[in-house]
Amino acid sequence: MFRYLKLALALFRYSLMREMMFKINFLLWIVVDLAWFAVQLALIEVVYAHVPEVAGWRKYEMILLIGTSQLVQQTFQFLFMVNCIELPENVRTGNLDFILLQPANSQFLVSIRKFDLGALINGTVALGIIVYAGWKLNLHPGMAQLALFAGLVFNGASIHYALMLAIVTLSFWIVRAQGLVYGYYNLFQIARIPREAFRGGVKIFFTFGLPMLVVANYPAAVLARGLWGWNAVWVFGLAGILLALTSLWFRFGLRFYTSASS
Amino acid sequence: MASTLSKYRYVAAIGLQNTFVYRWNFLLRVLFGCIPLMGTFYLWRAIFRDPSARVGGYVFEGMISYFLGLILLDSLTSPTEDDFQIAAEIRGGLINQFLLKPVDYLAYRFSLFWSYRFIYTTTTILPVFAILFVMNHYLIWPVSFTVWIWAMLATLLSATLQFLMAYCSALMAFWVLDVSAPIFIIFSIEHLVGGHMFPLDLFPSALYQWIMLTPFPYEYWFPLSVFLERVPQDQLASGFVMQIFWCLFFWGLARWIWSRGIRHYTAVGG
Repeated sequence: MFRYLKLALALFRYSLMREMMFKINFLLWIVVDLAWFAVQLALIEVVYAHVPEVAGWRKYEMILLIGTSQLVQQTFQFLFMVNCIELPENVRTGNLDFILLQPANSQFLVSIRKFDLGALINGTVALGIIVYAGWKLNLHPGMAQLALFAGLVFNGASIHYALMLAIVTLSFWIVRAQGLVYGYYNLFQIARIPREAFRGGVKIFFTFGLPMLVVANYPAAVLARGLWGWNAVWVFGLAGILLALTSLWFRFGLRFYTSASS
Repeated sequence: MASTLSKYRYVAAIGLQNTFVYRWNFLLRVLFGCIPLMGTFYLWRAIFRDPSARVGGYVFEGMISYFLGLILLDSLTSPTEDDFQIAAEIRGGLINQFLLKPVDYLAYRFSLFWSYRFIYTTTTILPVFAILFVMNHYLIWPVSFTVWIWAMLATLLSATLQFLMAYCSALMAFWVLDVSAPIFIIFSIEHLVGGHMFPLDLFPSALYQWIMLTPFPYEYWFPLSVFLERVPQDQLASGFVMQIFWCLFFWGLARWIWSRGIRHYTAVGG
């Protein structure tokens, strides 16, 4: 365990050095994420200029939800996303060989080889929006509530990771799987919508099948709507099951990997 | 003239074959593209809590018609990977061959764009029509035949404008190593003020007037408004004039950037 922590720290240092080599690019990618975040907030601003609430969520509750969704997404991006995105290309070109030959767990190396440091800055901006929305809503969360919120944010990032790794694992069978990666961006959009807006089978599917309605709705509801106890805690179990299944799926996929290099 | 056209017809045919090589990637992309529609539908249904309510002059059916029309427009007109491919060809030195042959690079890419659009539309036409069929009772179709003609013309100009804007963005690759970040920033602006997130007339009126002076509304908002008969007759002509103006502007800009870029270009690769 300690060995992997040291390894993660070494990889973090390497990521920092690499990012600082391309400083302008690093800053531009921060602007990209901020621009998309601003687009989401603009949608809320425009919608709430015409209606007082959406699915029972008032304006600043909705901003808190969007901010939480962004925080979860940035946590996922910081730790895992770049690596997941690179997997299909590494499989296609045979570069995965170099990872598999390292004396460490393959899934660990595939998942956190590079850290997206820009996500730390964007995550901080999202946190600022959450604090602002909380202030507008006159919220005074206790320590336990904040701890549950933080736990659920990491839980949401784990769910994103499990799903995306499961999706990109398909690249062991599909030659060019970038379409899968772009597809995942579409799922982020579902995470920003209040769970109450969905009904029937679609709600069940996006809660238990592709649990996008769990990743941001639950932590946001802990702060904004006083969600507590088993009603919130059960989603940790859901993430655990997903992570275990994904790990098995990844190992199964790896068996089909045939190096593409000559 | 005939031989020139036939040259670019072959380019389009090669584009079709290239798309089919990675058909799974392509199909998955199309399938995942349906997810935002689902999100949009449920979000706007929640916004229109009362089915008879009006939001910014729209009834629920009108709003859903707008987003369904957007899907159709996207499948017909939006460049998908053209900008990234062009940037990669410049960065990788693949444009060398076009500098030595009697092939105009802009015309070459335009041919590839239409072939990709053809494949995309053919592949998506069944799922898109399935969606339109299922959601038929939310749709408000244009009654007049002339509206269809105007909408088709606006769609054609929208595709050309989108391609030319993507082409101009990609030409940044002459100066910048990685064009992805600037392209995504432009893309976010297109999304917001092009009418991809919501109909632009939901913006405050003064802001809406300013936005209409930029090229972005003529990518999505204008063709959709024509189709949904939300453009008053007296503003139809000025809308088309603006759309044609922006097409010509970006065509000129593309030529200008290319001529400057070529002077700056260092050919790499064999």
